[in-house]
Amino acid sequence: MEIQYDPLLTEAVVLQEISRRQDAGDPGLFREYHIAADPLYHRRPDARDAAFERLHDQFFIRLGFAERVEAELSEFPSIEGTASGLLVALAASSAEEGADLSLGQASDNDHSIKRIGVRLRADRFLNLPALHRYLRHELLHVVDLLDPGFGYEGEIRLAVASPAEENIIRNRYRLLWCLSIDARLEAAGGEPLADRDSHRGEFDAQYRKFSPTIREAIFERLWRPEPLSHSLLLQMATGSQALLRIAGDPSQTGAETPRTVPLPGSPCPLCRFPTYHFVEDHNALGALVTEIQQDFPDWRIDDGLCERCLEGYALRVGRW
Amino acid sequence: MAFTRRQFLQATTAAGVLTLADRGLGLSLLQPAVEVGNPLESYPDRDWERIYRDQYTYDSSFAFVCSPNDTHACRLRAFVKNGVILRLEQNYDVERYGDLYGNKATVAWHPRGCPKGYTLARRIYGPYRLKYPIIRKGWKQWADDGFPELTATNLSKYRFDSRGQDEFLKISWDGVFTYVAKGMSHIAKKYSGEEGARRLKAQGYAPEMIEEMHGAGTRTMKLRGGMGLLGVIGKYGAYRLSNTLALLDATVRGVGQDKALGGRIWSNYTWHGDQAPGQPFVHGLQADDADFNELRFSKLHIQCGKNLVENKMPESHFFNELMERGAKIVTIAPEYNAPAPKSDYWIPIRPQTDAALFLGLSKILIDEKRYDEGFVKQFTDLPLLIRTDTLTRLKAAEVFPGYKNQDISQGASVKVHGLTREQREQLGDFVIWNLKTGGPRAITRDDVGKHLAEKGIDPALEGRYTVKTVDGKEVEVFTLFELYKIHLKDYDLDTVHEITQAPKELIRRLASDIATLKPAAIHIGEGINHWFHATEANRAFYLPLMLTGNFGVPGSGCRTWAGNYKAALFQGSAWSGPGFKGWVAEDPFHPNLDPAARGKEIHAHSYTKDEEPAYWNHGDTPLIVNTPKYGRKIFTGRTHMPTPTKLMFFTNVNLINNAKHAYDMIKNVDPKVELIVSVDIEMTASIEYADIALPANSWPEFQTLEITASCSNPFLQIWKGGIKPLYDTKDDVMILAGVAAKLGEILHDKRFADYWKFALEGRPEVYIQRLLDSSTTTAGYKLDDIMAGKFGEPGAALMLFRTYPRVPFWEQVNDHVAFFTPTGRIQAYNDEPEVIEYGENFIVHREGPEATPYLPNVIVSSNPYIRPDDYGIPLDAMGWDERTVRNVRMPWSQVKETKNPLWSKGYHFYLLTPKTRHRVHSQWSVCDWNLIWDSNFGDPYRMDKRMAGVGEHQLHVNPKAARDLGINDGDYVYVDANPADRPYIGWKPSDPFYKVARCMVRVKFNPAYPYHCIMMKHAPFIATEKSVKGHETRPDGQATSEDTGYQSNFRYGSHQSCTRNWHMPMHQLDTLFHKQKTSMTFIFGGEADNHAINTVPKETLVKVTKAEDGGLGGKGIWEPARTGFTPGNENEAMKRYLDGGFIET
Repeated sequence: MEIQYDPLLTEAVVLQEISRRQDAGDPGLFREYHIAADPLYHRRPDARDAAFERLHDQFFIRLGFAERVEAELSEFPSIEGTASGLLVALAASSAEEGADLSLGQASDNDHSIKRIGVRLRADRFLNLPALHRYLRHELLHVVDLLDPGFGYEGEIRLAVASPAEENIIRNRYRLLWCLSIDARLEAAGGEPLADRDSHRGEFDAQYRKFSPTIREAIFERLWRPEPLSHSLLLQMATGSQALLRIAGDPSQTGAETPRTVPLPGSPCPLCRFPTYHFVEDHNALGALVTEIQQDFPDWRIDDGLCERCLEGYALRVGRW
Repeated sequence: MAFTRRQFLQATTAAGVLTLADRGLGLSLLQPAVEVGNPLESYPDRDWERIYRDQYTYDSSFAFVCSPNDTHACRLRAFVKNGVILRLEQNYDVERYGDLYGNKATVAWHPRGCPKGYTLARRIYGPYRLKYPIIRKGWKQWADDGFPELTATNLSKYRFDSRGQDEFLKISWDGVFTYVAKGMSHIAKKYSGEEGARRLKAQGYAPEMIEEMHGAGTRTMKLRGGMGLLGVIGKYGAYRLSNTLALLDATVRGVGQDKALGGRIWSNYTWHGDQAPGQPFVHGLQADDADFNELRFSKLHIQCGKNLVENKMPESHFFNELMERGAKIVTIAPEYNAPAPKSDYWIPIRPQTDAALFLGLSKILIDEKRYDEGFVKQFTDLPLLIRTDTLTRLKAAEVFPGYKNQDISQGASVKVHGLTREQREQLGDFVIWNLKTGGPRAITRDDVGKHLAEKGIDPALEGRYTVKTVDGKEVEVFTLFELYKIHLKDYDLDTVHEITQAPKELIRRLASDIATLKPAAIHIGEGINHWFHATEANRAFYLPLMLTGNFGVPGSGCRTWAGNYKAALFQGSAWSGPGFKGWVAEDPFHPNLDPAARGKEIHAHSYTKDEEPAYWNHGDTPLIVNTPKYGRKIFTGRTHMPTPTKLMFFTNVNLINNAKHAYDMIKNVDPKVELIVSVDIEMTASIEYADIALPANSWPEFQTLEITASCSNPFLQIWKGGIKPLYDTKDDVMILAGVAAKLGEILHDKRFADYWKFALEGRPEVYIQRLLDSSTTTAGYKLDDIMAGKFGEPGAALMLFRTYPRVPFWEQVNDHVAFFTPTGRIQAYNDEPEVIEYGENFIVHREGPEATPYLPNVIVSSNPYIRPDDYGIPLDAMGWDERTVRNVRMPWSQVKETKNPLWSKGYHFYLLTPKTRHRVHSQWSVCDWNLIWDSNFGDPYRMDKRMAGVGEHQLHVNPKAARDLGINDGDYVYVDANPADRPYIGWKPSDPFYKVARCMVRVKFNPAYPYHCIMMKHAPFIATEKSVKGHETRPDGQATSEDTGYQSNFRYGSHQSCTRNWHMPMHQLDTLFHKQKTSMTFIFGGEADNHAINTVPKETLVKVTKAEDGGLGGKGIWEPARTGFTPGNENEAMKRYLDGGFIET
């Protein structure tokens, strides 16, 4: 499998390493680099950039960074056997980092062509053990994407009413998938990117509307070596029912029966405006339910409503 | 929406190869074509420089007046090439302006013109112009079907209840004039006589409104030329059209001119909330304003609820000059606004508590005897005696047996101000306690200034006496000054601090400055006048000025600034002629058809009656409340009474867009209006909800002359355009004349065309000359001389004011003549019967009927001489009209324990809605550059496809307040007001219109605002049904209507989703005596723009809740808020910088 490196990445990593060594009191690499680089400025402009790219590639390899990447890749033979190429590129910030899979371009008739892209911040290469954990984590995402059992088939369109709703689903998907990845890594004896406690904290924050007992049950079901499919992840990210199902029978867990919790940022089923203020206390609705159902015959309490709609209906029945 | 785990790096699969190739191409283009040694010595070919310079050449230029409602009327110069305006510049001409006597304006007026003037060409050539007349399909069908009865079925069939979803058809000018004329004729007939009254009664209108029509269907027609002074001929001409309708009425009802009635004329100034409504109560004038260069004379300059920096842009340099002249500058505002950093000190204040502050200042001045006793005795009502039994002023006839009112026929009140015998008898004479004689003494309204001493009068300021009335009763009387000492006990420093939250030391400091620095002036604006109790605040500002003699001297007084309302600039008089009235109210039954007739020969007779649009805005009703104590009670005075609205015709105003409670108008009120006509230059929301749109020429396209003047400068401006109209548009006056002529044609009555003869001939200059002839401020000017540049600049001259700069009350204080009040004095007390009933005889602080954390509308006082009537309305009544009329008096110690139920339910933000510097009202709302400048989210590329347009309306929120609500900088939020009536009465989530009407806007952190104050600029273009549909269905998400091209500034709703109209009882008196605005006469009671409901959009409390993330496409946090350099999100470096830590010494 061909591995390509983004010239911006190799340049950034090499210069960073030079700087690191200088700060540590070792000017040797600096001198060596400039002996090779300075003459390149005398070249014709149209040839200069290519020369620098070759120089940075050479240093990148010589300093062992390329070998690091290849070593990580070699731990995932399924990737090497399936993907046609890997591009390692520069990420300007953490938000841009990650790995992804391209299932061929529109111009290709052959959609079996799979290319992998990985974006990394240059400073990852300052801490090689951390780079190792990060790459393993990301490449395991790619393994899932390549696994027919995972069921990934490219872009999917969600029926969402707002970007906010899509954002919520995306964040939950990421959380659950990363949790699964790191659980598997730990089970295989490897070092996860984030440990169990970190994942537990993030999960609790995201699903704080569930009772602690329910959350515990769900988390235990997720932190296991068995991989999760794309469709299950999507179900869990989109609504709470799938999560509650994997928590098992509530009566066995001793937990109260939870009700549906609409996602923050989802549209109110009545006014359809996205809202972060769903009514929490359904018990207080009382006579309003009848009033609401006159306008929305298919609405049920569990569908929820936003606080503004509640005010409107409360006014109508003289309870505001 | 697409869902991917992460974006794949499409472009980088062959990044190395691609970048190399790209760089190779780019570099080769940079190779020098010709080798040049020293380019300064020689250069082979310089022809390219000529191309560069030639882009700025022009074929011609012309000057015109940029005339929106900002009051400045700046003359700009347009540079034209190939018939197209390339650019606009300031004309720099003012120092050449002169008058008949050789006086010249000061060069210090320069420069005049602002960024809005610079971008005007983008509006003229922009995509939102109205290009031809259009008519709503449903309305046209109704007309074509013969105007069938508007049953509930037909209302829907002809889409009166869904105008916003109907389509518009192109129509010729002749065609549209015909439809308008037929519509007017039909409506006039339908609602005339007993049959008309019966119909209106069946439709649920109040009987008083129907009675006010006096049987004339034309009285259901409301016409508005707005802001009329901006184009006296073309804009105020709408009032002339309303007067024309008297001819229609004569035909419809078969009556003579003695009984004929025209339409109603809708106001401008008070409708905008621009007036300071309390000012007529104090001095009797419509408004106290001056030429702006007068401002430089102040030694103490106070801006209270006024932002000269942002909203008087060409003139704010006069305020800056104060710094050079050694004046002290003080800003009073809830937020740290633009004038605040330029001030010596800023006083933060809880909104709508300014009355309390100034009452507190006055108490300090009185307690410490830091007042000008001479001035107070000579010019104020503070020495006058007040009866404690009736709370009215003691009249001479009540206490002196056989008293006859003194002869004042030779005084200024009669000879100059036009007081009639009947008025004089009604007002009577007043009583003071003469220290020289030790007893009561009658004084007249003309006994002011030096005349007191001439008559041997030295009135007591303090004192409490007993007098015997002519009917034998012993009555206790106080001097008003003495009563104020009692009254002001409720406004001690500690209490004022608690009410206003202003720091005590700054209150004391301001009191000391007012006492010691003269001249002192207070400048106010919509920051005061857009609140329900602006009347009290306005009156309160004058109290310390009265006490310290800051009147009539350049640089002193209380100036109010907002729009360009001052029709009074073209005031008529007995000696000059009818003035303004000669144009808008020339007698249509006796028009003067002689082009050479002088202005004084024009016979004015108004068949119209003015009216406040506020009544339309209130569900088309007056203020009528079913009170527990008295049953049905009408609070709207007879002189204010509206009539039902069946036709709206407005020009140069985005009436529906700018209406408070706009969505309620659209949903609940306008379906009952049978014809809505808008004259404008651009597509607006008003047009989307109208029936007919008539496209007008913009200022540089005017084909005939137009005239304007200003309330804030002395310039008379006349101009016409210099480019041909781009589209099938007409001058405003030609549109009005066309409607009138067509009415005459279908009625076979040539009087209509006669009335507009010179306009129809394309010679409105005949009317302009008549206006100049007959106005006190322009009599003597010849139009031809002005246009020839005889007074310095073609088209310009100076208004003939008594002084330059124009200074209000200069005559009163220097010539010792009466003010325009009943007493002839500046008044701190009003004893009109309604005022006493409402508990506002004294100047007092009241909490608002909505915008307060405390009991709505409570009067904060323990003064036993305030005896308000609460009409039996319980304290917990929350109906909007009930809250409005309930008058309850409590001391502050009790008030502060009360709670506004709305506030308790989480509606605890005051929503401030001031004007933006980048618009004038709603004009420039779709000029792309202005939109980009107007907010922090301006983006010409609209990278975030949720944005309504290239700009984004924003809501300024205190960062902590936002964070407490879980809102990040840049997030979209909902702004919701009282669900009982907003965004419209009867809203429910199942109504698709609710999706249009609920306000969604973008948050901007702004620590200048206190926690409970949020701010959104007013008058953006509101969301409409079509713009919302565009936003939700267009691939690019822009909020643009598909067929009309209307561009909204909001994704949903607008700030009018949160506002509503309030009917102030104090603005609807029949008994207030004051000067009429356009003539040297007095009136009792209502007059539009003068004493009428002054609308108050800031009187609202809102709740803010998160709607969507602010990050691009709704993902995460808005990127600029993550840099660490924005307010509320400062990184460590920024914090250090703000602490001054970047510089170490």
